[in-house]
Formats: sequence, C-alpha cells, structure tokens
Amino acid sequence: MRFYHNLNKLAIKPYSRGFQASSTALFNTEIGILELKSEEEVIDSLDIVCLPDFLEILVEFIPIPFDYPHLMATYYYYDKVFPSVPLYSPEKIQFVKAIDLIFAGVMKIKMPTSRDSFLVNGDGFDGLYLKNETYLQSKLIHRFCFDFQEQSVTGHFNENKEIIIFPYAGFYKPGCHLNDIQQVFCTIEENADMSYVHCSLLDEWHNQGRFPPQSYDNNDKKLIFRSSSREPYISFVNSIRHGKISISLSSTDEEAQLQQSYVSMDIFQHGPTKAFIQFIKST
Amino acid sequence: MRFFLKWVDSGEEVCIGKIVKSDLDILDFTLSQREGGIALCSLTIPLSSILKKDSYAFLIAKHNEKMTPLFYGKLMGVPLHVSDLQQKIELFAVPKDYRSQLEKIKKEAHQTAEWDELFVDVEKREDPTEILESRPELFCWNPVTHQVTLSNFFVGRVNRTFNESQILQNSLKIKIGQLPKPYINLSVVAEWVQEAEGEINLFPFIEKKFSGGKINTLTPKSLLIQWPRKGQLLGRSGYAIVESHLQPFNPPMTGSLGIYPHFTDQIELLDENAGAIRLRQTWLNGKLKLGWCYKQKRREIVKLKLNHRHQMLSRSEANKLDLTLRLSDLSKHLPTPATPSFFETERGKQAIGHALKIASCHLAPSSRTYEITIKVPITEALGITLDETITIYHPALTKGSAKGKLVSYKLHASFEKSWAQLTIAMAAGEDGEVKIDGFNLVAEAELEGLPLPETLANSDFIDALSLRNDAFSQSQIIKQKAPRNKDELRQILQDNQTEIIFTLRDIRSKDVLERQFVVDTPLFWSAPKQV
Repeated sequence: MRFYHNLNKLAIKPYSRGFQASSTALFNTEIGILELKSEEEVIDSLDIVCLPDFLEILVEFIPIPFDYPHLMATYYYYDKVFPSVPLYSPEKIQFVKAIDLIFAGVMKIKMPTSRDSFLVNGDGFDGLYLKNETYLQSKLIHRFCFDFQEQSVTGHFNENKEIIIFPYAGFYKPGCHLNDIQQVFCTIEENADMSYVHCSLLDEWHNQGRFPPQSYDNNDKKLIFRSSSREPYISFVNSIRHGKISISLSSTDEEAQLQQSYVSMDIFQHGPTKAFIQFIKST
Repeated sequence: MRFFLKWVDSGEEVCIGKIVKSDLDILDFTLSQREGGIALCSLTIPLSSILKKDSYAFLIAKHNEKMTPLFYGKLMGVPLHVSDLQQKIELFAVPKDYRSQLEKIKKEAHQTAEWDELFVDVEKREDPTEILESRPELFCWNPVTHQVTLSNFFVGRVNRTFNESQILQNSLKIKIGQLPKPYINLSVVAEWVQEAEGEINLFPFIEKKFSGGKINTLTPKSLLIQWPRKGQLLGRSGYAIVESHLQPFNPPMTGSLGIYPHFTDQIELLDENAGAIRLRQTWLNGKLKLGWCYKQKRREIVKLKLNHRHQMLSRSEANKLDLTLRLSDLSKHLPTPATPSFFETERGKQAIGHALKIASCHLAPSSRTYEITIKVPITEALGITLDETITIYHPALTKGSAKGKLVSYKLHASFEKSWAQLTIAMAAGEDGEVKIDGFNLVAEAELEGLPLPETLANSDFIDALSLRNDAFSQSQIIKQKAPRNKDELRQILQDNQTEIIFTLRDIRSKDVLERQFVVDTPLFWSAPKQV
C-alpha cells in the first residue's frame, strides 16, 4: 500500500466529478391546450320551453273554526220564548266557517312531451313557480268558504207552515272523506223546552231531491232557504271539479313574461288531512 | 550521548528508563520526517546483527542520564543496502491503529463547519483525507507515540526557540520556496432536477367568463359531451385532469333581478305557421381541476475570484489556478424538490462559502514563500515533532528573528558527528489572516423555467382563456339571424355551440437550464504575516 501518498493531502488528486443529473428534454414536450368545443356534435332537437298540461298540487286542509260565542238561536211559539242556545257551540268542531287549502310542498308535473308525470319538491321547477296573491303571502292555495250566519237567528212557529232554513256552516272533520265536506243548513226548533239548532247536510237535501237554495213544498209545509246565494249549492268535491280553484305558474324572470293559468279539475285524497288537487291549463 | 535500539515484542511493555543495552549496534542512523508523512529511520548496523523481522523497535537517545525516545517503528523486511560488513535497515513509524485514529479524527471533523458533504462524492465520504480539503491542516504523525493529530500549515501546537548560539555555524540557509499564487479562479457547479407538481382549479375561471357568473348555454349537450374526463392527459404537456364533472342545476331565484334566466326571450319564427317559441337556458355546475407535473434539469455555475494578498507584490507564480468544484447530489439539501435555484438559497450560499475555504487551502501552501533551514546539535532537537512553531533568533535575519512552521526535520548521528537539520516554512501574508465575510451573488440572467410554485397563483397557469357563445351570445345571434323555422334555428345553434378554450402556462422542459452567477464582491485571502 502506498501509505505515504494515500495519506498525504499534498499528493495531487482529482476532485469529485459531482452529481450529473439526467436530461429532462423529453419530459414535457407540448404546450397544454384544453379545448371544450364540439366539432361534430349535431343538435337533433331544440330545447323548447313548454308549460305542463296538468299539475297536481298537494294541499293540506286547515279548518277555520267559528268564534261567535255571542250569536244565539231562539225559538218562539207565539208569545212564548224558549230559552236561547248558542248558535255555534264551541264543542261542535265539525262545523267550520271555511277550510284553508295550504300548499304541502309537493307538485306533480305532466309535460306535453311526456306520458308520465314527475314529482317536484317545492313550488317551482325550471324557473316556473306558483304565483297567487294569497299563495305568496301564506302558501294558501285557496280558502273554501261556506255560508254561515253572522247574526243571531230566530225560529217561529208559523201558521203558514213555512220552515225557514238557514245556511249554517261547513262540515269538516280531520280524517273524513272528501265527499263528506259540504255545506250544512239549520232550522231553529224547540226541543225539551229549549231552543234547538237542527242541522242538516246538503247531501241529505240532495237525496230528497231538493237542491238548496231553491224553495220546496213538502206535503203541507213550505221549505224556504234563507240564503243570498242564487246558484245551487254543490259539494266541496264538485266545486273543485267545476274549476272553483285557479292558480298560475309564472317565470321568476319578470322580463320573460311567461305565465300560464290553471283551473282545478279534480281532487284525490292523500292521507287524513291532505289531498292532491289536479289542475288543467285554462284557455 | 548514546543511542539504543530496543526490539518490542507484540504485547510487550517497555520501560524506556530501564534500558541499559542496545539490541543492535548502531553505526549510524538518520531519522527524518516531512509534514504530512510518517517518520522514517534508516540505521547502519553490522552485517551480523540479528534482525527481528516485522518487529517494532524503539530508537532511544541517552543524554545527561536522561533516556529520550526518538522513534518507534516497524522494520522493513529487506535491508536497503548490504555490504561486506554492514547493512542498512529502514524502519517506518507506522501506527498499528492508524485506521481507527483517522476514523476518529474524521468523525470529529464531520461535525465541524469545515466539512460539507456536498463537495465529496458519496463513495469517498468515508475517506479521512477528504476532511483536509477545506482545512489548512495536515495529518501529523508522532514518531514515538504514533498519535495522529491535525497540524496547521502555519502554526504548531508547540513552540521551540533557537538562538544564534544553538545554530551550527554556516548552517543557516534562506530561500524562496515557492512563489505565491496570485489568485484562484473558482467555479462551483451544481446540478439537480427540479421537480414540482400541483393542482389548479379551472372551474371558477370558466364561470367568471359567463354572464351571471355561472356556466349557461342553449346547447348543453355538446358541452356535457366535450367536458373532459378525470384522468385525461393533455398530450405531453405535463397537464392532466384530476377532477371533473359537469351537470345541470337549478340556479337560485333572483326575482325581478333576473340574474339567472331559465329561458330565452320569445323567438318569433318568420314562417307564419311556425309561431313563437322560447328555448330553455341550461345552467351548469361542476368541477374542473387540472394537475400539473414539471421536471427540469438545472445547472448553476458560480464564478468567483479569490485574490491572494501577500507581501511578494509583483512576484507571483506564473501558473494561475482554475479550480472547478462540482457538487454532489443536492436532493437532501434543497429546501424543497421544487426549488428553482440552489445558490440563491441559504444552503447554496453556505456551499459557496465552503468552496472559498477549499480555494484558500489551495492558496495556503503557496503562501509559505520562505524556507529557512538550520542545523542544530542533535541534543537540541530531541523529541521534536512536526507540530511545532520554530522561532529563530539570528542576526542574519531581517529584524533579527523569524518564526515559522517546522515542515521537515532530519536527525543524523554517527561516530563522527551528530546534528539535526530543521526546515521551517514562513508565510508572507499581510496584516494577519484575512477572513472572507459575506459576498454579493449576482445572476447573469433571469430565472428561466418554473419559479417556486408557492409564488404562483392559479391564474399564473392560465395564459389565455376564451369563451365563445354563452347563452346570451347565442340568443343575440338568433335574434340577428332571424330564423324562419325550427330547422333554421337548429342550424344556427349547430353552428354556434358554446366553446371554451384554455391555453395553459408553458411548462415544457428542456435538456438543461443553465444559469451563471458571479460574485462581484472583491474577495481576498491572506496567510499570517510571518515575515
């Protein structure tokens, strides 16, 4: 071993060759261009905006109760006055002044171009939204009002044998069938030495072949409906079917001026307190 | 004065003071050592002397009843010279444990500021001599104890003085040993591969281009089909899609503001029966993230000049020195793999400082311009080593004295005479040692390629972004072209589909990007002033 030279710094020795990195000439060789454009894509159909033919809107029934504790019913037999009773007793919750139909958050849409309807959560789709004055304020689709009395009523024994029938309230109980929702009438009579409010359903009259508010002769008595309505009373369901409720779909962009009105054409029960109301485009 | 040679068997402990007889008759001997080397002892002995092959032996001097070991070494197998009556043998002061001693010195040196592994190839980092490159020191081998130490070029640990009366007459000789190098042109070269990668979210940039701040179009199908897929590469550009999806969505209601219209204005088709229609305006939401990957070989060269300040003025060595130092693998020394410049980092500047130390060590030997040789009685040099500073007082010297480092000695004794010849090297530096403090690094060109990624925003990766035919533009075109019927309307949309084109930052790599620096600070180094 050349001990002396190996351990002597003064001997000439080459320096480190150093680190020689490999070439990167072939790592990235192109400029990056990202093109999102169609060379050949053919547009086979236009995405034309069309409005649905039919709508179904889920509503919830909210009854409006009576709050008239001061209204009384009194029966008179000649000069005898029977003790008055409250016209609208708070226990009788099935008698309501009106029913609010509140939007329950779901719609079904059927477009002209499709056979099936689709469900929409919310009150709009594709830029179209329900737009009624009452709806915008409180999600109220329609308030279905019944005829009722705003003043105390009296009943008299009539030698002319006339029976006065008053429009009393609407009938509604949560869970009742839709066909049961209807106008209720009443007569003021006597029972057990007390004035008595005798109620009758519209259906009962219809089953007898009577169509309030038209007056009728019943054997030797004359039935007189004291109502301001000139049109025959129809049930809640028939009212719906006759287009009682109307709504409109409008674009959120007011400049687009896109609006379509719909009228009700049917109603389907959906649980004890809800129903789908079907609407059709109105012309 | 008497001299003894005592053989030492393996494991034997020798008591120098109790030696009374020499194992060999010594006719004469010469003991010599030069700096950086081990001591050699050649002895002339009778031919009949019995030698212990491969054995170690002490050479001891007895003077004034005091036994002083001069040398301890191993016998070389074959005599140097054989004559009728005599033979000349040689012993070398080879430490048995030199490897472990050097290993220890090496390990200690690696912990100091004078060691920088960047300047040493990986396979040579365990070589003890590598630690000397940046130190003005040499290994010093004690001829008796075999201890290895580091001894400075200019100053020893022990001081010894000789005055005129100790110096043999007419033995003082002064000469210029070598002329100092005037300067060193130093180049430090570093090579590495810059590696960087990252992600860019392109989607917000696309959205900003559209009216309403969201993607909207009358031709969504083509955009949905053309939208890039995750994993798609953009050729060999270094870009790839890492996250991507696009889908229609219902934008929020803005009422009368109409920021996000769902359909166009009414389009009146000219044909009587065609009527008026509105087209649905599709709003799209999604994600588009691009990953990028960059590799670039870089080479940086720092050029500087280390000037040598010395007293020789115009007398300098003609051969200048150009020194190129190439650094080893930098990967562990870069702040991050994406670092685009090494010498502009603190570690890089530290490497330049180390290179200057290496350069100064090249200037150092040449700065020991003067050599003085003296002869003194051998008794004056007993126990001498090379880690000594010698001061000489003699009227022949300028100012009557000189001081320098002992660089070699020779002790000779025979029947007729005995002496010690000492050679002392003296540095002709100026005003004490000049240290290098700080320097100004100037790049000769701007940085090419990718800078540090942390300094780049997403927008820095987008050279150009063009959008053609968003929904508003398409509506305008339809209005302008006034189609007669749905077929013509369809064709207009066919010809004016929404297009988005990105041109991304150029991250193409080259074979190598080389960058040169100069140090414009004047740099000087000087040895101690010993003359």
